[in-house]
Amino acid sequence: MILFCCNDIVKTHFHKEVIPDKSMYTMFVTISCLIAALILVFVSTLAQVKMDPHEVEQTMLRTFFIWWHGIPVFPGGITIALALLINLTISVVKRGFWKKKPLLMIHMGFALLIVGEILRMVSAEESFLVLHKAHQVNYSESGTELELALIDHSSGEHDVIKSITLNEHTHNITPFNEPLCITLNSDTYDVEGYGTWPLIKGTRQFGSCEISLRRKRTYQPYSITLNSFNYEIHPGSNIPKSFSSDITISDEETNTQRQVQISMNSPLHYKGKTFYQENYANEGETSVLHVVENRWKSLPYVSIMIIAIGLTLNIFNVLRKGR
Amino acid sequence: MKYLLIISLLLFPFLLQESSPPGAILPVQDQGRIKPLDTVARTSRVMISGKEGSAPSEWLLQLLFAPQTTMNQKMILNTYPDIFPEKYLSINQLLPHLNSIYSQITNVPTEEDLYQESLVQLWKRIELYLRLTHTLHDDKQTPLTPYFGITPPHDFDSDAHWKNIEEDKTGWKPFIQSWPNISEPVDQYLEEISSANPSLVRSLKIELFFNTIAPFFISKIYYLIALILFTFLTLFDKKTWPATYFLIAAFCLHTLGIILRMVIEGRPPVTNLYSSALFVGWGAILCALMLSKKYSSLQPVASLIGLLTLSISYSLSLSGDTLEMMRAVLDSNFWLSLHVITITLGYSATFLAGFLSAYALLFSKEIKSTATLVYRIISLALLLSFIGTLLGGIWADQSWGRFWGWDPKENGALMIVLWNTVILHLRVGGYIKAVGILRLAVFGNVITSFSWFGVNMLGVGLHSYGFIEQAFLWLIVFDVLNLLIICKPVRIEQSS
Repeated sequence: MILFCCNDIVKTHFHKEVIPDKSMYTMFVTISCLIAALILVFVSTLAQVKMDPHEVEQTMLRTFFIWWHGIPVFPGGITIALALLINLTISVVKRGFWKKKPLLMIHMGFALLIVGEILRMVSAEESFLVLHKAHQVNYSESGTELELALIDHSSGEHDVIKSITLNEHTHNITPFNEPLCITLNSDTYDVEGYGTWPLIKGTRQFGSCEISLRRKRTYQPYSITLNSFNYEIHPGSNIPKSFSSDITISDEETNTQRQVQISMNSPLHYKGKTFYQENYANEGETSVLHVVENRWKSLPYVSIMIIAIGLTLNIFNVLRKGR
Repeated sequence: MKYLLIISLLLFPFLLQESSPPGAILPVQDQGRIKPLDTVARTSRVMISGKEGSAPSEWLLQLLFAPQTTMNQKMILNTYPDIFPEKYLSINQLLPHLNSIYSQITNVPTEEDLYQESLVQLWKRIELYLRLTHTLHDDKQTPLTPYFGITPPHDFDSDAHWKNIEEDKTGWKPFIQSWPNISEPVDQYLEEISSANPSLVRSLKIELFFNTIAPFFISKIYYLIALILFTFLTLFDKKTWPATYFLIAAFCLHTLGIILRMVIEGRPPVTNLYSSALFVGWGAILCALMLSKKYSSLQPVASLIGLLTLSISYSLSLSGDTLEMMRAVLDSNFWLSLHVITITLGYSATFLAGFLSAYALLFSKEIKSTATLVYRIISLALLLSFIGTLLGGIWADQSWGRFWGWDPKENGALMIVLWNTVILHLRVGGYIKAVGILRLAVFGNVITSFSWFGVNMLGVGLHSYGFIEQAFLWLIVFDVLNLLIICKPVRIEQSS
């Protein structure tokens, strides 16, 4: 049906059954992009039956093209968004959109939304904090990237000599509560679920060292301790009512301690990062927090405001004039 | 005369109100909520028999207090004709076979087929039935736990845990002793509750009232009558006001039902798929009634939407209590209620545009003026669905730290936004005219039905439960019908 519709548009467009004017081409591109986006969203929804959502995002949406056996078969999410953005800029310049203020607002808001998303993709950092009860943690872990770290036990547990980021097997991540730590004793080593890895040169020389394949860690200038994890269900049922973690943040720079409760729908904002209650494990002995750092966090809010006002003004015009 | 009609239509359900036995109001705790026994009776009866049947409260009271007398009642819907040919079975017939059924369902291979599935369904019914019989009779021999909690804490706090018979053997003793004449102890019990927690008694009474007047059932019938009247009155060129009054009466009852649900639950109108079906229909009809002064064709369309959405919500209600507790993820939050209401109204507007267009295309009637109206409704739908979708993003950002996650439900909403945008741009660009707008608006039905129900069925291969499979079939039928309407040729002179 959508293909049928595309065909119709292409025919009308090239046969010039409608009065051709300068703005026609940008309108044609807009509609093509929107229909392409619709197809892309539909296909990526269906793809989630068989594929992991993260994989769908990487192969279809957060990419320039969808590749199939080395051939680009369909434009990816980034291409469509950029095409819409460029096309919108051209049409605003050429058509003098600014005469109709509500329409201008809607389109500018939309452009800002795309820009905000691009900035987020470029600059935002996401990681996870896995907290075990009464253990102090001063690093967050990546949800997708692995690293191979050399740890020198002779001078403290957290002393990392070198770590290498691994980008392979990114979607093959085991649950957070299983350690990926292994001790070195031959030229190759096995890590369960991750295959066999060759030994890295020179590691044997470190007698007291341990090599560890784990989620990529980012160390923070503060540490967090899980005091308790609270899990409530609605009485007489299995329906979860609320999750929350009571934590203590000890800041090494300012030498202060703070007690906070993070629960679903009420995150903690701290040092430019936001901590959300994400998950729990081990019957509440382990709590997982999602840590997000995005400087452009407020952009989508601004663009939504602009679009909402534009659409509302526009609807009054439509209802008054019927067009 | 006209006013008399509408008043009598509105009063009719109150006259029809069933009387409930004295025990029906007894509070119990089930699925995290304190509800009258009557609600449990209705939902468990539906789950066991596949339909509500008459006098569910009497049935449940009998089952609770005197299980032996109900052992031979043929109540349990049989989905597994291999053991018994009958459609309904009694528990006495099934008891000798329990072991064999249980061993068959516990050895289910990972790839469940329909045959196994129906056995699992039968087992679930038997299990529910047996758990109900254990509500007042603590039976050490069975591993099944009682179905609901009956003994409240001393302060009758609705959020605390209410003990079941295993935890507190004295529960409901006065009623058990005086059964079957329990009206006096029930009154005493209610007085006791109202002195400690008066709001609980009030909400029990409201819920019982809601159950006995069955507003959605009556309003569904009114929508049906309105639709039939519209068809015949238009066919014979008569004035259609009686149909209009049925439609208005149906809408009033529909509204009353939604308000009562909100009062009972203390939540915004949309909390689960069932209530979204109620609200999608309600929103579309509200919009249609507001615009119907100028466009008379909106009224039959509104009746059809009412009939369809209430039928959908009825089939959704077959799986249990529709007043569910909210999961932690969805609990509270201003953004969420705003988001859900707006997006659901967006579905309403898109459906209204789609149904109206389908009507105009089918009867080749008033194509041009309908197209103008449809264009307006689509603009409204875009406003609602866009803002609704983005409000969902704000909410997700605030509680999960991500604005957008490409979740199937989010994608569905985005598809509606995109489709409405496509239609508006096509029209502004001059690619489509009246008939084109109507056809594309009908396709909006297909997209909305996908994002409303289709995405919930994506896992069809994995969990092919009876309802979902049937619903999937209906979804396909609906989509095919819409596609047929799109392809229907419309005479050119009307489209010019």
